Amino acid sequence: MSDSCKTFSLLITSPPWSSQAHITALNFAKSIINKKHTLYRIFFYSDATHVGTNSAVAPQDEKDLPSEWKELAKEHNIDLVVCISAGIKRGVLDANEQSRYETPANTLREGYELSGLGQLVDAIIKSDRVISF
Amino acid sequence: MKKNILVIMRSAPYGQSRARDAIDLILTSAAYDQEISVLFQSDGIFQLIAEQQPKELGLKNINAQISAFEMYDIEAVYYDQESLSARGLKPEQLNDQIKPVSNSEIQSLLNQADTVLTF
Repeated sequence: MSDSCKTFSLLITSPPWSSQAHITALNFAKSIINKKHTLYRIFFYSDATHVGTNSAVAPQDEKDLPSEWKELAKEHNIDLVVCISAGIKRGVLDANEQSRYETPANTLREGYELSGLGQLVDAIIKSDRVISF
Repeated sequence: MKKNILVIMRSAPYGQSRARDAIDLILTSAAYDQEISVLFQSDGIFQLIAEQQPKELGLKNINAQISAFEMYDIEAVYYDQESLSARGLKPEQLNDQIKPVSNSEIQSLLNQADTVLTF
């Protein structure tokens, strides 16, 4: 196996609070960066989209997963995409969707983007490896 | 750019949304003109049962959506023969558009794929 640099993306489908998947994925993401590979996009699908809810508050004695993803993404210029179809049915709506469906609030966390499954296909096309959690 | 994407369906059709989520991804990949293959394995075999009546559950028929793959030019759609016999099912109980594959054929599907996603 050569140590040439590769481009990775992550597909996360597991829920943030009732599974260990996000913690494992975060550690994996940090390893990718430490090993000088490129992390292109993190795509949150299915129950993983709950991580993009801005009204969720992490308990003080637990890892603040939504903020950790956001900080990692900001520092290393990684796309954090919440699937729009999976997100809006779980109450994750950005300003556009909020006005379209006339819901009470913009609930998308800052630093996250709400977009379609095409962003996952684009990540598959542009990455050497897509790892699922 | 075109990638060879293999989606492995290992979940039962109802009870969880994994099958439905995977189908949405498969159809989107096809719309983006990717080379896509689909393998039904393990409990994913149950998605192919021809006589499904999910209306009773208030859910959409997964097998009907799988039958529509052809319209999207998704033709490399297979099921694992071993998973079928392990569940006491017969090929004639399944959606007849789907082709059986052996373990060695599954190996080559995996080898050909640029990306493998399991649902």
